[in-house]
Amino acid sequence: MKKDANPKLGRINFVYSLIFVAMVSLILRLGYLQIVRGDSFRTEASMSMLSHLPILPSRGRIYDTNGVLLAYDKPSFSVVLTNLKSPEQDLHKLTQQLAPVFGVKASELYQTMEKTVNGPTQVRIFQNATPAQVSYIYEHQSELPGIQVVEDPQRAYRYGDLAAHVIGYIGKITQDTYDYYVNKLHYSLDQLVGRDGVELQYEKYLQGKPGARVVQINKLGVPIKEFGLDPKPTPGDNVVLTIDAHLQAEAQQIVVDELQRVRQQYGYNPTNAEAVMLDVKTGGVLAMVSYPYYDPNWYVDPKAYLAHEKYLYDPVLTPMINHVIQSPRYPGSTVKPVNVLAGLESGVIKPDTVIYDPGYANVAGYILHNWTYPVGQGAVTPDKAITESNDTFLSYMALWMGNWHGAVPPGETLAHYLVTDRIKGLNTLFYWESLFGLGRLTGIDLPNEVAGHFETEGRVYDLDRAMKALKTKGYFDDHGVVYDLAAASIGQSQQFTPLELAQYVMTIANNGVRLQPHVLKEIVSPDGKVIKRFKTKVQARLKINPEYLKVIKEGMLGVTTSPSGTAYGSFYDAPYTAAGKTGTAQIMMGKRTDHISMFIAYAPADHPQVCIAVMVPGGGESSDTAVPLGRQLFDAYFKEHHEFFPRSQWTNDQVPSNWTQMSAYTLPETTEVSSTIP
Amino acid sequence: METIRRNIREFDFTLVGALVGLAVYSCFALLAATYGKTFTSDQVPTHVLTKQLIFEAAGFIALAATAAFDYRSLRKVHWYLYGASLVLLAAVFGMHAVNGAHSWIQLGPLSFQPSEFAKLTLIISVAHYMASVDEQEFPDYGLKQALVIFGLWVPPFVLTLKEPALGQALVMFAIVMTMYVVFTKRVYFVLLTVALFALVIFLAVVALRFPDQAKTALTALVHHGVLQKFQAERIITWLDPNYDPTGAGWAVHQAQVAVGSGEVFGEGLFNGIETRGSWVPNQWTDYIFTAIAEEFGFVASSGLIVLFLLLVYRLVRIAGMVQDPFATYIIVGVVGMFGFQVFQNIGMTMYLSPSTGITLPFISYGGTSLVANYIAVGLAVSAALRRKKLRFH
Repeated sequence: MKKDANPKLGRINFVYSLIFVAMVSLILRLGYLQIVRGDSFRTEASMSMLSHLPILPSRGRIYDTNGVLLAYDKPSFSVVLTNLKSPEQDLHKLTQQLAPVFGVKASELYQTMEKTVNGPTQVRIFQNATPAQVSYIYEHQSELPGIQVVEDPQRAYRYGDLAAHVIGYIGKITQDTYDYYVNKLHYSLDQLVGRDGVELQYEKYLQGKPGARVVQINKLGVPIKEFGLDPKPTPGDNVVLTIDAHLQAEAQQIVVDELQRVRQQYGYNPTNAEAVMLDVKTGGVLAMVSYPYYDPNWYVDPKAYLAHEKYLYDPVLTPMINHVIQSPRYPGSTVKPVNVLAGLESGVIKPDTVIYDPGYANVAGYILHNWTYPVGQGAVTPDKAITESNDTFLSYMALWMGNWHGAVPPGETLAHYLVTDRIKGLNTLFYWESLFGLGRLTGIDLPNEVAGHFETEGRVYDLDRAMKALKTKGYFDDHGVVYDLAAASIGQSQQFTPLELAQYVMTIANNGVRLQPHVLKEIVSPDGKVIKRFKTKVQARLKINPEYLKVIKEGMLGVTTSPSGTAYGSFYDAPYTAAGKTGTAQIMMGKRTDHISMFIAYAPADHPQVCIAVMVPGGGESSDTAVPLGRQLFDAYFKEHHEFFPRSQWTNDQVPSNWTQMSAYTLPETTEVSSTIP
Repeated sequence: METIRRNIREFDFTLVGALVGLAVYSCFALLAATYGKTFTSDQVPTHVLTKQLIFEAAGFIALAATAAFDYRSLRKVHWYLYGASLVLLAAVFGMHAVNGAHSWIQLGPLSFQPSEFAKLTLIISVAHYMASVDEQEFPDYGLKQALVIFGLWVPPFVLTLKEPALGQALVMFAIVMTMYVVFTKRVYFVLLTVALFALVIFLAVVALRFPDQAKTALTALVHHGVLQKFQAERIITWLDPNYDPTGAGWAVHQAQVAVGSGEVFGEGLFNGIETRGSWVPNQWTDYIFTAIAEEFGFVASSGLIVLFLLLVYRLVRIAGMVQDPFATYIIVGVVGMFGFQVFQNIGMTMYLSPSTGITLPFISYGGTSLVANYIAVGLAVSAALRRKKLRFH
């Protein structure tokens, strides 16, 4: 030992060696954590400290056939909660603080927040925030761990209730669609989906794909560094409709005006009215009105929704139902052309058959009065039966089709007759109707279409089963009476939707070529490439004797052009020719007998371009409401297409600039119609 | 003249170089740990870097002053110092608690942490007693001496534990144990060494093989009021890294993720995901190592540990050169203090030791600890400058 060395040197070196070992063990541990496991730690840090905020894609736009923008996305602000799984974040506290700011119930807000506990860690707790709400969040960011504001696209329907039932609306994924969207298509719960109309029908094209905004957040969830979009959201495809927005606006205004007029003029109280116009060459829907309607923007803004909720669910007004495709109603005399055709085709009448009408028909002892001419029309031919809507002619014709010539056929019992020959007559009538699309789904590309049906004695008559039974067994058990034949011939034993009637008259206009009605024209990608173009779908090419077709077409032309025609009063001065058929169905509205005013037609009669179907329950006689309404629809179409009318009356293809001041836009929600039936 | 020249010649520039290196580390670490954290809940002090630079300057002045001061005169006043530190330790209980602990004395804008100085006075008083035993003609290193030494340790230890500042209290224990290891007779030394290894092995076995039983035992200790709940939870967290990861285990878990994500070269200044996001709590004080490890990586953080080892080595070297037992014990106490604090502070960010609230010497933000640490080194330098030399003129 050196002389100047400390006697405690050994112990000191021992202490030093302990510290040396401790420091080396720190370095070893550091090496293990940073070099061996560093990658996984960095991944963990990136996973939890980088927030991947789902960015919703902007939904595809919806245009009318002329390129008029109907629905689009505008930017809006949403509030997103990221569950930090950290003691800094107390969902109860957040709820207490935010519920009054958003103006929502605390319990509901908490329920939304709670989804992040076991589900996805992020959820949009509030959408469409006002600038005041957004700035509140920014100002109180440090008290709101995990709360962020993101920019979301928000749906806007430019013309409000214009074509609302066709366009539909969007909303949150509901309980019953959860499985489909979330489990099958892997949507995030934040994505809004189409709930009705085109928005629902073409959801998969419109939706697009969400992206993510990668943001580094601190432990309070406050973004501190942007890493950009990864992946970028893919915007949805644009949908172009066959709807002509100008015509649609006109149609809605015509409906509103006509309803107003008949209320004042006749004291009627119609609560609903439907009008639809199809392009005869393609089957494309040019205008579709189901009055009253709603404004899809209400579904975007919860406040607006609450303000209109009562109206939306009014059981009489039923503004949410698209009656054009969802409400089959008695078609009345509008079925006469196809029934006459059925009579001709089945051979019971000939184009020159004459039936004498004393003002009523004796249907197996029951006196059926002629609706239009109670005093009788004398000698009636098939075309005249259509023109003047002769019930007697149709009744006898239908009875003959059922092999009823005033009595039970010789050698037959009534009971046996009722399930054989009567069924055969009904089936022939109904079958011909169904060939024109009546009582069947039209196949329109809109959700929730309801098919019409046939009936006897108020019960649904299953045509397919009846035809099969007759073919296989020779009879069909249907407890009806002889009168059913007559009732079917004048449209009292079937219920069809307005769209079915439109398809039917379109098929006549097309000489038996039945096209599928549709609202889609094409789907265009955001960069302008056509992804899908709707090709005209021929559902059937009916084999019809041209001579017979000519008879009914002439009968229908007479409806508007012959002074004795049932629609002559509205069409005598039309600059174009139209062929159509009126209908008035007697119905019970509550305890009161009322009428459905109906009109179906196509124009021009010689080279048809468009067809219409109008149905106004509670609208009185066809000539009171539906016929003048139909006339105006044709006028509007031809004025827009610069045909038949003088230049001074031409219109363009744009939605009127004062649309939001027009009563068609404002009236449905402020309607003075009493929603209770007296 | 002779003294000055000798002072310059003998001055330990490596030691000072190590301290300057640590000061540079401290500045970068504070910059990284506080950058962009303006939100209130973390209570980042304002102008951290400026204040720390002022503290560093004050520290170097304190170091120089202490070095110039003859450490031997401390032997005369050590009781006053010891007593004063106890009074100050008691005084904190009259102050407002910060983060639930009475560790601070507020004097206007300045705050002062008595436990930092109590560690120094404890070293001085124990060193004085040990030196006086050594200096006896027939020194006795028996139980009686041990009792006196640990009797000196108990008052500051208990007061600090009650603040509560478990970490600081444990540092005091580490200081006294280190000094005692150097002081005591061979038999006790062997026994202590054996006990130390046994303790390390015991802790390792408990941590690795019986964590559940240990948790139960700790819960019982809390139940009987021996440990505070949060103190027990820190040990449980160390035993079981998966314990309450969103609550009690949160801080250490985040700390380890931060350290690990640094990888070899770090994520770069201001780029640490954990550090920038403030996911690690108290990153400018107790968890400052995580900022260095995450943003500057293995290279820089192991470099820091090497720098600490260099500091300890230079102190140990001085201890080996001085012959004055009082100086030896002081330096040994200081070495024990630094060694324990560095291991404990860095170790807790890596699940190597349970987390306790102690600073990383020379790196953590805080004036009291910085100045106290510089004074501690200053005492060693003072001893080095005044050591007896057998020289031939």
